[in-house]
Formats: sequence, C-alpha cells, structure tokens
Amino acid sequence: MTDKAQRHTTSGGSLIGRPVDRVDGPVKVTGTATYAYEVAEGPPSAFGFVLGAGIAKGRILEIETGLGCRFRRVTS
Amino acid sequence: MQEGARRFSWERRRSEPGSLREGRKLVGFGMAAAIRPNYIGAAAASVRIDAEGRVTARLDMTDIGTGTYTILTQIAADALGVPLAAITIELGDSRYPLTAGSGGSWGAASAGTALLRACEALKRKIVNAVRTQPGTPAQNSGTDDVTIAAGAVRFGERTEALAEFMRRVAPQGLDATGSVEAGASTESYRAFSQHSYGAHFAEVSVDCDTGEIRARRLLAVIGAGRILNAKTARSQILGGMTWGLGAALMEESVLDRRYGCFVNHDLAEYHVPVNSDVPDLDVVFIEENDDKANPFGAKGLGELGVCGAGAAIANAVYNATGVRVREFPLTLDKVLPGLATVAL
Repeated sequence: MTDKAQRHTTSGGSLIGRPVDRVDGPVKVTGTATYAYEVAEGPPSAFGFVLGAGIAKGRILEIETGLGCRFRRVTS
Repeated sequence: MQEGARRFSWERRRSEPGSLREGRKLVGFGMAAAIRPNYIGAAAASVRIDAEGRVTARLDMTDIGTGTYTILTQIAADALGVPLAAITIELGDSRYPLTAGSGGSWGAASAGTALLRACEALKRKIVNAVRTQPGTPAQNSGTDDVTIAAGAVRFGERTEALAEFMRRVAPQGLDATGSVEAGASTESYRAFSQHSYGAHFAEVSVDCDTGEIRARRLLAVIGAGRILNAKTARSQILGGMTWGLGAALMEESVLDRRYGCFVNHDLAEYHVPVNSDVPDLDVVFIEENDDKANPFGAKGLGELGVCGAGAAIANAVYNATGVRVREFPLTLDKVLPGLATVAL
C-alpha cells in the first residue's frame, strides 16, 4: 500500500476503506497496552483456587476452613 | 467465483482426479463457496467533543485483535470531518454504552452503526451551535451552509478551526449518543436476504509415497459489501484462511473415551499451522455497496476467511488423489490406502 493511502488526513475523500494502520498497534508492540487485569479499581481482588474432591461420589457435610482462615488476609 | 478462477489459473485443473503430476507429487485444485449471514446486534455509543476539538467515543465493545479500535476511529473521523488523530476510542468497559460485542462477524456493523449515529447527532449539535451564534451569516439558513471538514467548521464565507470554534462557542464540550436496534427486528432485514459471500481456491500436492499433503496456494475472493479498512480486513481473512488450513490438515482434539479427557490438550500435541505450513495466501475483495445492510453498506467479514477454506483444500486433495476424505483433519493415514490405485 502506498504512503499516500495510509496518510492520516481527511483531505481527499472518505476515510472509510483506507488501509489505516492499527491505532492500537504501537501500544501493543511496545508492551504498554493495558489488560483488564492491570486496571486497578476498587478494593484489592480476591483470588480463588478450585480444589478437587478426593472422593468421586459423596455428599458434602462440612467444609473445614479453620486452618486456612488463620492465615492473614485469607477471606471467607 | 469467476474472478477467483481467473486469478487462480483454474484452467490448469484436470477434472480427472490423479491426472496432474509433478514427479512423485500428485497435484490437485479445489474450491468451495463461503457464505455468512449479515447480522446486526443492538448497540449504543456515546461521543464527546471537548473544547480542544478532541473527540472521545465510548462503547463497551471489544477488540479481540480484529481492528475494532481502528475502524471505529475511521468511522468517527469520517462522520465528524476531523483528522484520525483527533479521535480516541475507549472500549471494553462495562460502564460504557452496551454493544453486541465481538462474535458472528457482527462487531463492525453493529458498533460502527451506533457510533456513526452518535457522531451524526454530535455533528447536528455542532451545526446547531454554529447557527445559533449571534452575528453569524449562517444564522437561520439551512444546514447545508455549515460543513465540517479537515478539522474546521465552515459557515457561509467563514472558516474556523474546530478547536477555536469549540473554545469560543461550547467550552464545556458537547455530548451525543447513538444506537442501533437488532437487525432481525428491522424491515430491511425481513425483506432482504443479507449475506456476505466468498469463494476459496486451493492447490495442494500429495506425496505419492508418504501421502503427505501440503497446501501450495490459497486464494479467497470475498464479497462483504464495503470494506471499512483494506488492511485489517485483509488480515482478518488471512487469519481465517490459516485456521481453515489448520482445520483441514492438522487440528484434532483426540478424546480418551475411557476417562473422558482430551489427550492432546496443549499446543505441543494439538497441531496448528506454523509459518512453513502456510503457503502463498492471497485475498481479493469484490466491493459492493449493500444499501440494505447498514449505513456504511459494510457486511460481516471475519468468519468468511475460515468458512470454505478447509473444504477447498479437501476438494483439492480429492482432485489430486481421487480419495474422498469426509472427516477433518485430512491426515496422511486417511489418504494413503487410496493412493495405491492412483499413485503407481
């Protein structure tokens, strides 16, 4: 594509259809694009981990959380 | 299809399978049609111009690498008559106006139409602000007397940079919103079949002795209405064709039926095309202006690249070998038994 076609200008017709370079290209290739994970808002995030049961078939009667909750900043 | 056949030298194809050879390679040509419905999902957008003439548009739309930021920038700049550099598109925040998101090749048409309408509403506000200015010659005249182009407002004989005009007339900025309803609920959608179309062409070689299938050339000819950005559109189709190639020749999730798990659940064992697998790809757009589709005449594009690409390759393998494989991926073990008769 020619430089002329990529020039960022409004002169000479519609901007629709032009092979404009990606406007988000520079931040992506320089690693400065912000991902949702990097947007800090509100209180700190809580992180969870799925723990698989050791018993394939059974009924949950109780979940033992006492030990885990003794750790600082563990939420329940 | 005719355009593709011409460009692809389709006349070199022999209709009798297994009859085109290059040494120990069997060569085949195949093609397949592509069709996608043109959807529009309900979407809304807000747009604001500040005292410096800078425009910020907000939508909760996504850009999954398809170029949404770029085409929305083009649409807003085009609609408002300002340079691309004056536009900032903010996406991906659920506090912004609701859009259809990415999927079903409908993102550009849905979010783009909402943004276009928001920009048109904003432009009307700017024009009204011009006309209500005391002492301006454009006062009480028609809207046609006021134009915004190249970042400047022209009214009557007078031209003023948009930033100057905004500072003078609306230093607090101006806001507008726009929206589009779901296409399925509109009269135009009920009355007209709305689709985008394509034709995929493939040339493959199949090794007589090993059955190894290599794609040599792929061509996609695409009719998806007006193309919003020739570069990002082409990139989308190239990506789709590459995935079509992967589906046809490599990709397979192998299920362990005893334990119900996928055996090859990582990219070491789930094969996707790498550079040396991807041959000479070409994309051609046949532009049309579908005035029933949306204000741009642009239609869904993203999935046309993959739709039909794999089928063209499977047809090319049949043309090369006479072996008709009905199950993707076309691995060498599926063609090898049938090669004995043709590849002597």
